Amino acid sequence: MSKDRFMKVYANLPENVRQEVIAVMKVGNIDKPFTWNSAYVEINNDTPLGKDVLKKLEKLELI
Amino acid sequence: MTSQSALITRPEHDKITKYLSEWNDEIIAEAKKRGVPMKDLAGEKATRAEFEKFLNKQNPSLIFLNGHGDSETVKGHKDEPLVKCNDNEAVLKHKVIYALSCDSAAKLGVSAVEKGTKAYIGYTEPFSFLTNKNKECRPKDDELANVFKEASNQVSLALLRGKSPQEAYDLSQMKFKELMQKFSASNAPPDAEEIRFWLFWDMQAQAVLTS
Amino acid sequence: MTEDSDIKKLILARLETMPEYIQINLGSFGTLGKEDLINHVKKGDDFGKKFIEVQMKYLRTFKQGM
Repeated sequence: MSKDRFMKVYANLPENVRQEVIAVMKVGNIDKPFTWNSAYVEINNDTPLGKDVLKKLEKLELI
Repeated sequence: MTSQSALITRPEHDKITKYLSEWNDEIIAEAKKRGVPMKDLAGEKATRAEFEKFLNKQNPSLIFLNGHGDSETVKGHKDEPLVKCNDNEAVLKHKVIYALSCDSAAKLGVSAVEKGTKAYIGYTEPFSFLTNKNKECRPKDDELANVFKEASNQVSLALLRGKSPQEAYDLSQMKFKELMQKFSASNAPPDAEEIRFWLFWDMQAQAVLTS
Repeated sequence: MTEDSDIKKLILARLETMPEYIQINLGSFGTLGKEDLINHVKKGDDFGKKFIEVQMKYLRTFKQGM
């Protein structure tokens, strides 16, 4: 469900907006920024990181 | 009885007020083009004494206030209060005001409308605009600032063109959205994200209060 | 990790991408640069809180489309 919501929001985003940072995720031991674009790569490929990003975006009420 | 004329206050004592003053050159030119008599209280003339003296004599229907402010005040030259809540806002009675000043729509605008101001367009939070620190000696050439000038000036231009306060506010809000869209496209410059956000800041802080 | 700290981290990460030449002119708050904004957010003062609030409001507008 949240993947669908992300895809809908992402599809509707203007190109330049897709470059904005929308989440900070711990990858290994390091905090890394994710833009709409980098989040899309993870979510579209159904990675574990992608699932974490989705949870974060829901928590932040961005999708 | 109000005449079809306008008053503008535009102090110029620091960087921010110099930019706002320069933005209003376009407004003054529009007034001249339309044959709307406009009294220009610029720089050191933007004092409370000059402001009230003119309003006691001429009674214009439009007032454009530019300068620093807070929720209860719009200020003039060297931050002297020109109009203050529960003090002299009655001078704005029956007039339409556009206050390009921080926060004044939060309290001063509300009080002014309660006391007979026809409409007060302003901001409920600090008005923001971006500048390029490499271009601050030449405000006219500052492309960053000019984006905000375009959105703000829409209010004054619309009022001079005979639009109602609500229409002027709506046109300015549309201009904010149009500019946010423009700076969202694939060919937007590197500072587009900051332009978008601060346009949004101003757009959501802009308010129209009517009697 | 609390939601507030998640939000603060996000806003600070967003600020890191801001070009150095941009100045934000904000009336009574004066002229702010990138480092000033970062400090306000880290301190969590009135302006810092307001900035975070409006940033989140802005980000949430994309749910409905521009």
